[in-house]
Amino acid sequence: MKALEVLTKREFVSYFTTPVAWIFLMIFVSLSGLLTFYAGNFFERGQADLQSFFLFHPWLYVFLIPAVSMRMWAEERRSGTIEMLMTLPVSTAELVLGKFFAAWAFVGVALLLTTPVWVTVNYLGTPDNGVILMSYLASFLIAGTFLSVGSCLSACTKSQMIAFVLTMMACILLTFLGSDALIDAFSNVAAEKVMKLFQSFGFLIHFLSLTRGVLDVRDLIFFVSFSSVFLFATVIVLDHKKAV
Amino acid sequence: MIILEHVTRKFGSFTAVDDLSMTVSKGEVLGFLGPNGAGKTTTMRMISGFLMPSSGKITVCGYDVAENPVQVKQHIGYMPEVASSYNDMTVLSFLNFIAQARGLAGSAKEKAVARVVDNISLNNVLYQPIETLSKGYKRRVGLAQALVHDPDILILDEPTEGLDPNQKRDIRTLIRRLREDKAIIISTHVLEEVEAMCSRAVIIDKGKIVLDDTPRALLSLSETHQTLFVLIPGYQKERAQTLFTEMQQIILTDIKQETPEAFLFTMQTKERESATADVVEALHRQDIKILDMFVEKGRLEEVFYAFTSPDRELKGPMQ
Repeated sequence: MKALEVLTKREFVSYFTTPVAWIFLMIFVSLSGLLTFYAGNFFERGQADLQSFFLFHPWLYVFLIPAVSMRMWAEERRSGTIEMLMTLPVSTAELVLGKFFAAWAFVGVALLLTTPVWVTVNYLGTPDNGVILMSYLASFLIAGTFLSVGSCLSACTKSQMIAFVLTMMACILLTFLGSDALIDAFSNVAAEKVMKLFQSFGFLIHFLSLTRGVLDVRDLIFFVSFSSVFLFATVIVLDHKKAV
Repeated sequence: MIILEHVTRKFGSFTAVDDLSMTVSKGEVLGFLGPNGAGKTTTMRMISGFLMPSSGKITVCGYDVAENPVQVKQHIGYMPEVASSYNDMTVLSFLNFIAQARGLAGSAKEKAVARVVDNISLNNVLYQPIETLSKGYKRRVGLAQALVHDPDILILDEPTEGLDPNQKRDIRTLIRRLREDKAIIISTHVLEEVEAMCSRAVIIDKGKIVLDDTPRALLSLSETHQTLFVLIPGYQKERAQTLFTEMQQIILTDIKQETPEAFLFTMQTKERESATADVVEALHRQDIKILDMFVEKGRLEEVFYAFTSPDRELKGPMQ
């Protein structure tokens, strides 16, 4: 597992050598703050919690995660460094995990930078910090799941742009699967059972249940298994489509 | 150390490498030649475990590349044709990364990196981001990356491409120094390099081996192999000409006035065997002065052209 550590570290450090990382951090922190206070009516609600903060996270991720994940493999392919990387004595799985963990840790840094919001709400009142911690975990998990999707799609192409657009579409779809709007739209067409099945694949429902502070193992299993499937898919894509 | 058995690689309907078999042993420096698109890079990528063969078997240091790719990769240092390093890293941090990824740590890592930096003279650029380096330095970083773990097998895809003559010389010297305890495969378009550093030359075309021999043996296939050039003083031109025309072993092909006082005679030997001694003796007997004389070893370029040019079916390889 030593190699995994080395790979993760290099990838993580490499994020900060590009301006994209700093722009990402800036946009994430400022947008999540703005949305909380303006769109989320943080003050008007008069409640000491961070519901209005976390509510927007999936929507921020839909646009921002693809920006993080797009370069994972597409850039290696375009510049040709994939050849050097894949002739190192490490398994494809280690390479995929290394990149994934690095990206996930990077998003983790972005989340850590939002702690002023948490400080604020604690200053203003006495929120349930357990729920907030759980919500942070939920937010981190959903980010990881989006990243795994992004990893797979980035491995499919040489172009970061294509990787970005595809990942964004996929993330929107996955988020929407659970939304009421989609359920309503199809409720006349599909049987209730089918809709329930679709809904269970939606991210939002699992995310919301976690942010309510209920640690349901099923939600955890959902995110972890979903990520694993896409990371495994990344390994398969890379093994079959290494060259060019 | 490297065994390829009936290796074929297809990309869609295109066959890049076609039923190729060869063995490379320790101590050998194999020059891998062929026109662009002949399958050199594909073959090297398969040996290094980057690509899998469509069929056939590759064994490296006793390990099957398909079954134990990680073990195989541990024994190989591979320098790809294109970018082989991360542009945003400095030379030192990149080499450290490669050393660590290859399982070196602590003082072993420090030592390995220092050794390779010294060998390839990267001292001046250690703290520079790789993207700011010249092409020559980038290639050298690529080479350093392939050497950092002191591999048993070295696979270099056009290592001297884009280097200036001095740098090329350095690389050749380095490879000659390394070859004793390694098996080395080098692909190149620079044919004099093969003569300079390879113990064996393999020419492939359309995915198949067309020639496999020592560079010296390949040279003897050249049309100009053993062509003899003799410089004779002008006043003895007529006598020399008569003599050469009468000699059975040679065919006089050209007489050219080099300077006002000297003529250069070009002659081909029959069967391309050396006739130098005979010619010298005959000239001596006739008291003809030899101003200068040299023998052409042959040109790899000609052999290369004869065996790989598209119209070779028309011309046919010589003899």
